Amino acid sequence: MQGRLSEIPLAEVLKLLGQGQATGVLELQPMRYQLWWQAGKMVGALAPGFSLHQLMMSQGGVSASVLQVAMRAYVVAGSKSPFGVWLVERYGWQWRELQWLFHQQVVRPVCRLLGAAEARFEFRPRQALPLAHLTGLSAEPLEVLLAGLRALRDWRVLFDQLPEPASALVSRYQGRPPYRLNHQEWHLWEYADGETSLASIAQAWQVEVLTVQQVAFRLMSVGLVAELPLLATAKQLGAASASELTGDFLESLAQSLQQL
Amino acid sequence: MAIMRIVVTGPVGSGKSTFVRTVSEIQTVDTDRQATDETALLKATTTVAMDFGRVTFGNKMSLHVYGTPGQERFDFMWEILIEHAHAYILLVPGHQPGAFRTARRILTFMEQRVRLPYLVGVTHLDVPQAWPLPYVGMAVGVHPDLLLAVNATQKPSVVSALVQLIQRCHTRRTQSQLSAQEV
Repeated sequence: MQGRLSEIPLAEVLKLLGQGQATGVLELQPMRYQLWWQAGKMVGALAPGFSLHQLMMSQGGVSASVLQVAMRAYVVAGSKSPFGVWLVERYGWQWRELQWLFHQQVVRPVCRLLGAAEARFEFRPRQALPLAHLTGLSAEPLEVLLAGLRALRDWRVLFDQLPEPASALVSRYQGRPPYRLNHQEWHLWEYADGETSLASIAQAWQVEVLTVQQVAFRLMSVGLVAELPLLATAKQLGAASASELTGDFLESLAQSLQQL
Repeated sequence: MAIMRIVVTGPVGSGKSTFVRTVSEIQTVDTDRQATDETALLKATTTVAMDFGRVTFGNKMSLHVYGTPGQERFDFMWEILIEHAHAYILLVPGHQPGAFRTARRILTFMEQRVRLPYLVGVTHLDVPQAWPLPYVGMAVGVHPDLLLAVNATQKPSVVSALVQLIQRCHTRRTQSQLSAQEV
């Protein structure tokens, strides 16, 4: 699975890997950023000059010598657990410390990358996880996406991926959304009627249409709504009016085609 | 003569014109013209109105296959094509992730406008950078049961897709008759 972020946004790639319960590594070039996945969840990240160990030293208050001793013991023990879990079990580390490190290692960089300019990506499935660089924690991609897109300030790279102002939205989720939506997202969710264009919603809200497009993109990214292009002509289509075909006809046609 | 009309739709470069040409017994009526907009980056020509192909069996049965315009503009041409269709197949180029969004838009449009049996055929799967079939299905938002690999240049593959679509029409017809009887 590969492509360019100019063709398909990172938000979409992350959603698909989550949906596909992917295990493996997503690599972004040229930044050589690796995002590790297990069963559809993000479990760790690595890049040149950026790893769990470096975060522990630069932001976690762990000295290089202590880390070296711990790592040597981890390797000698031949542990099959992620390094973070091992630290909790052997050295009495607190989970909240790991949570903070995991946030710095995975959640924050992913949110930042959502607005990244052109990059090539490739997902390689079934790669052995780099356990020595993992905390043992994981993140749901859709929750990270929603938070990241809310925080995104520069939408230029996603401009071509936004739903058209002339399109409407249709709901893709039955019942109450599984995420905590903010006021604007709720409001737009209520407009997912398949009839009202984003431009009309912007007019009703008295905001720029770009704002509505961005909120719509967030809801689309987490699978709550889909974009519905409205017909260019005034007339909307009703039910198809083609003549009914008999069962015998369909059977004969299928048989005859198979003999071609 | 009874005629079944099937619409072949999909993003630019998904193989719609090829699909119609591969199965048609007549020289297809195509309306390809030199592409002038962003489509030109993907292919030199694009279908501006529609493609039309036909397969006839004796003097009783005929299958008409219509390809939608290449560029994604939902105008009167779509109206005409959809209104008289019995089923449709959406082709998605598996090697062009940039086209998945367009395919999803087309599918949402079709699902909302008409209740017709359909299948999603993923093309260009022989290209090395093509995405795995299940991921293309998820990107387009289609149930795995409705997904199949199609090689638009190979007659057996095109015929197999059409036969599966016709069988789907038949199953749906039988199901609606049964539910009508229950009522």
